[in-house]
Amino acid sequence: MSNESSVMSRQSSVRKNPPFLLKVKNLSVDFRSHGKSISAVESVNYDACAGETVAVVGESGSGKSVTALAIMGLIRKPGILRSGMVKFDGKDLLALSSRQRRKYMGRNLSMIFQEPATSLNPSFSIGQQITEVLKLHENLNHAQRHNRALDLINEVGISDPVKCLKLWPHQLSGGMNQRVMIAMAISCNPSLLIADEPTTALDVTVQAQILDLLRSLQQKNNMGMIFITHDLSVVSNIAHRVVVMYAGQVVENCPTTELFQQPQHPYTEALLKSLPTKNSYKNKRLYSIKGSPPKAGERLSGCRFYSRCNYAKNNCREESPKLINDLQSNYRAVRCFYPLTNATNHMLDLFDDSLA
Amino acid sequence: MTALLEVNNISKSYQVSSRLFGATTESILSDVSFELESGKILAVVGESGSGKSTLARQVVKLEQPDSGEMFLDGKPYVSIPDLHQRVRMIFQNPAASLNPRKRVYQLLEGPLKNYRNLSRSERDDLIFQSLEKVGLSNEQAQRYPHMLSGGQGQRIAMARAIISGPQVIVADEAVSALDVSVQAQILNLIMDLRDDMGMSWLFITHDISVVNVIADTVLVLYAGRMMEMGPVKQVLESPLHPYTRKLLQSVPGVDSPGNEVVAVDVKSASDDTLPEGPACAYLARCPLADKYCAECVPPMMNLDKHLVACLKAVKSP
Repeated sequence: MSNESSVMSRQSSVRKNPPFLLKVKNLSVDFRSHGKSISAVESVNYDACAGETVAVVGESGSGKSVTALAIMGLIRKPGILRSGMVKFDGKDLLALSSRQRRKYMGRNLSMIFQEPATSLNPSFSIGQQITEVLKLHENLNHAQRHNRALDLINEVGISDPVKCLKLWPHQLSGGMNQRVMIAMAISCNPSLLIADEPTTALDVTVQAQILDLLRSLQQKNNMGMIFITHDLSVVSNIAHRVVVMYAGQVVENCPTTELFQQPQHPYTEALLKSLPTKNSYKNKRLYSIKGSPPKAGERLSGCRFYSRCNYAKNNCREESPKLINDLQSNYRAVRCFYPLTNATNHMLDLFDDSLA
Repeated sequence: MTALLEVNNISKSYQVSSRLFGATTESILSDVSFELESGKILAVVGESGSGKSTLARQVVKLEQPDSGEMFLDGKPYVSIPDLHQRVRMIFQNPAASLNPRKRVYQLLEGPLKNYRNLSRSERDDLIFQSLEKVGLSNEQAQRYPHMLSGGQGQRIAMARAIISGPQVIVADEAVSALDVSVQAQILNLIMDLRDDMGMSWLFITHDISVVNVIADTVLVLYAGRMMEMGPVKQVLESPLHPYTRKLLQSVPGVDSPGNEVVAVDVKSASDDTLPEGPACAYLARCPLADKYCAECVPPMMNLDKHLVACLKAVKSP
């Protein structure tokens, strides 16, 4: 309980005065393929404050990464940014010219990618790659850059920085490479860090270290963080707030503790139920969501979760629900005509089962 | 009752070339033994580089271990001509393990053509039966792997494994690449297949929560050595080896949101230099290590069917 209350208090302290650091509004991204335009992300809204970790979860193809790439201005052909606005620190990111954006990104806002092994350049040493960022963004001479790189490497918990700078990416393990990526991303003290599945390719023990590192860096620099993942157990561990995406839309947006205790969207509930947990019954069948998510391009009218939903009613097929703010609970939103309440919520069954 | 699959003290090392010293051998697996009873699931857990996949390759006889013996149904591996039919393997990523140029039908036909002399119609029957068992329709048979979703691809890989009626299936991280909702379907399917066809599974994973759901026994590997083995409930609830405890602590759980996992130490396995000479493999990272741990490889102790290789192991009261 003490842990929960500490998260709660952190939550409220972070959200007390929300001049949002990042505000994504009605962001839609299409991809053109065979003359057709396929919508990958449809009017996505979310925001993040300084010092807050917002986790974006969803299955593969739900548009988590595309949203992040759009924020960073990295959508390239055949992708098209159809509509939307990304405000960061009062600045409209989408209105920047590419020259301005290059100056801005990496300094105020930076990103960590999923596979450290593929995002580091194999033909430059670690030292060269870290100092390159500093060369672009900071006005430092060679020796200063080198010292700064040493500090950064030290900060991400690598024990022998002098040696590490001389090594090449292939000489380091996955966890070490990911630390180097993090060092590069935080080298200019960004106020927002976007981490796209930063621990997915790593072992659990290494994952625990990386989560620890990100958490402490965040607290130290009061950095905002967008944490993209498909792993709900990681979410419960690091996030203050969760945005759940399904088929290119945000279906639920709410504080972490509330999401795990009382999900309101049927999809969120189903996701939580299908997770194997430490308390799962031995040999008991896991809950699985019927059907499969709609393929890109075959988006139908009505609620996108309609065909797989256990609670669907007739109008769910015809009308598309909107993302509606819950006025009673603070900062909670759900895209469903019939949001689950305590009475309809089946999560309680799950916990009963595990106690039995 | 004799075990279906018996693995006795297998070891494997690979030649590693280094610019300075020429070729050296690096030991990947040493002295791994276990028994698998029919209709049971044995989970093998460990970090990357701990030798999980090497163990899998020895068990399906893709490679020959340097020493040690393996028995299936009481018979040594060398005397079983149709071993590849009776011990089958499923790989991690269906997109990479299924040949993109072949239709599902041809993929499933492969093992039948290789191992059994059947007529076309008999093959058809078997193919459609195994598709049905993994929950796919006959229409899927004419598709190519790229037309399948991740979950369907893994089902095909499973159909391909069960089609020759194997006794043991080795699944190397078979659900790791899948989304949670699909993962649940595949885990259910594994349990169904075990119950319907009575086959045993050697289930290799790094995900402890999955182990808890499906496995009967769990084997913890570190640096190619067995650290601990025992019934799942015992090992997960009262782990005896310090490494197992650390592994369990690192797993974030959704049961208690807000509970932050603590990284216990800063080093990861691959950064460690393993001790030279006989010593416990976990020596460098172990909080409990003392001089005795550096003097010998800890022997496997059997505490009430719960095996542990640690001098410091104490059964909690």
